[in-house]
Amino acid sequence: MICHLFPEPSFLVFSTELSELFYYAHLPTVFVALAVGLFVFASAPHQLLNRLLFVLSILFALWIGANLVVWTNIHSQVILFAWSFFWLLSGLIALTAIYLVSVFVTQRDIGPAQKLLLAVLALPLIILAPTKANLSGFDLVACDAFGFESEFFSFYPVLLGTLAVGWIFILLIRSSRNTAPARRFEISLLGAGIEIFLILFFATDFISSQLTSIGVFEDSELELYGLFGMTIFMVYIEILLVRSTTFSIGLIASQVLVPALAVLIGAQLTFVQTPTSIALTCIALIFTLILGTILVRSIRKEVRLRQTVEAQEQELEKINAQQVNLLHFISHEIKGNLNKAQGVFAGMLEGDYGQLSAELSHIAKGSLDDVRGGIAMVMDILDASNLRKGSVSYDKKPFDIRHTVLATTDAVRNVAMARGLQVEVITPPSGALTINGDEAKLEKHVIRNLVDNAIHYTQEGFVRVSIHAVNNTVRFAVEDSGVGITPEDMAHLFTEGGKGKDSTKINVNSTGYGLFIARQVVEAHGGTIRAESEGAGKGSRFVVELPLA
Amino acid sequence: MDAERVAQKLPLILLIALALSAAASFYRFIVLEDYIVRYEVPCDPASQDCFVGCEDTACAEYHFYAEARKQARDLSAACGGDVSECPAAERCVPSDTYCTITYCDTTDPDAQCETVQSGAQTEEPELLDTL
Repeated sequence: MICHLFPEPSFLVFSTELSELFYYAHLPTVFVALAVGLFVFASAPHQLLNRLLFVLSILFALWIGANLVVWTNIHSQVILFAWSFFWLLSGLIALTAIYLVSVFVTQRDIGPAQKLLLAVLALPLIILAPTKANLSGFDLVACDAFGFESEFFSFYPVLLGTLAVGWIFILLIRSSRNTAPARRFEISLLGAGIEIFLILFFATDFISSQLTSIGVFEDSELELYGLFGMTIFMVYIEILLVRSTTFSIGLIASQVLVPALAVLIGAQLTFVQTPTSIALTCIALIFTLILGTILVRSIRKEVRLRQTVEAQEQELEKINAQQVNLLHFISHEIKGNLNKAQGVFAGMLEGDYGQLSAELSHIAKGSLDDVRGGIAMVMDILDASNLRKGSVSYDKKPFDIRHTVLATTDAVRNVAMARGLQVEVITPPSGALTINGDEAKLEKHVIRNLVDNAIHYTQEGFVRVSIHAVNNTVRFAVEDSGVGITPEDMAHLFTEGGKGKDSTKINVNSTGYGLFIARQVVEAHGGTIRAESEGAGKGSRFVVELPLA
Repeated sequence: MDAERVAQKLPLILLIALALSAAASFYRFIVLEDYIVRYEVPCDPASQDCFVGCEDTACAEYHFYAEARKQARDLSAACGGDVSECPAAERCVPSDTYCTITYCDTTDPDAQCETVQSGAQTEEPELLDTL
């Protein structure tokens, strides 16, 4: 049956009687939706997320296709055939959106129970779509079927749409609690995009359909504005594609946005009338193409640079690991030779090789000191290497750190006094400060290291060591009136090999590993270490806090 | 078959179901033309209660009509694709599977009816079964 509202359309859908807004709302949207869906799918067809986005694009494109036929065709049987898919496709769009967001948020497929639930929800629509429970007739005068839609069939998909909006909202809220900020932003971006799309799609479609049914509107032109929701969603997807590797689309992603925008703007030329409007649209189109090309090139360059940097980073990590192993090996070898030399010089001084002359004895003593310094340096490097590899084990037991600090300070007091330094120890008058830790490592790498540093880097004045309990922690501090720390040195003080700019002028044996090792050991005990200084020549203060047992 | 195996085959099952659904729609609407068509038939206000249809918003021009409903395939058989110039569409005939012609209900205060001649009420929804 033919209705006489319009002349026969060409190619099923092209009618001169319809407003340009109608085609502008449909055709570019189909293009954008299908282009993005296809690009995403083609980039990685095996990925579930990509497949789901493609399915969503196809469903939406089919919905628009059906909509185009319904609006433009004049044959009742063709219109009804297309019309029979409306609510079916709407329901499937809602269910696919739930599936898509679930996979995006959890980064894995949904369970069989959820899949079955979604399928069961879709089943009434699939079964009843061709029956009279969907459409029973056609109005030749109005050229539509609004008066012949069943209530169930027009409400059920809207119910599914509402369910989708709520379900996705809950997924977004849940994911926002236990994801990293960068990932949370991506999820919010996609979630907001799909929520806007669903709300615009279902709300405008439902409201326009209901208001047209009861005669408030002559036709359901209002629903055309809902189609722009898909464009908004697709732009969101575009941003996601460009921002991250969510859909593994890489470089292609940056090339989709510009043609899509160009189509949207270019399509305006089909209905703008005045010369000014045409000129403005042309200018906008040219600017979009020029700026878009620049954008694509810039993103392409950035992506390539990022890929190059990532590849280099992996290569560097590999080389670094090889160097660490080599350093470890060499250090072990050097340590063995130094130990032998230490044994020889110590034996010489102890008379194992006969009585030495005063001059030879002086040389042997100096050499023994040098060899011991060398061994200490190699040990530092080895310790740092082991700490970084994670191959250091800690023998943690409860011990009184107050006692350890007092013993260590007593051991170096003479050295400090020989340099003319005043050594002050401030501890609680009595009582143990018990912590659970590896006493030997804390003593050697933290307490001794900090006190030694204070003595080495202080030409005159004092070295003050204090230890006391603060709440549930033990605070151990070493303060001196020495060379101080510049802000530049402070930035890399606790890094591997991060010694001060002029540190070797004062301490020739400085390896730059001492404070790095100290930090690793303190952190392995659940503590913190920090340095304070007002600048060069103004002394420094190192504070270690460890949890009490 | 457990739930997981069913879930694995769901995409294929759904695709087949959708294809069948589309085929059924095609068969019903395009091949069988199994649906009701509502259209307007000419009405004489001199002898019948007619609906008044406005040609424009100001209703400066109008026409009188009654509302007809018939099965699409009956109309196709009788009139081809166009009911506008088809006398068979203006009345119910025995071969119609379903047919109603509704005249304006003058007792309905919201109905825009036009009756020139008072007297005999001609509103007569008809339903003729296939012979």
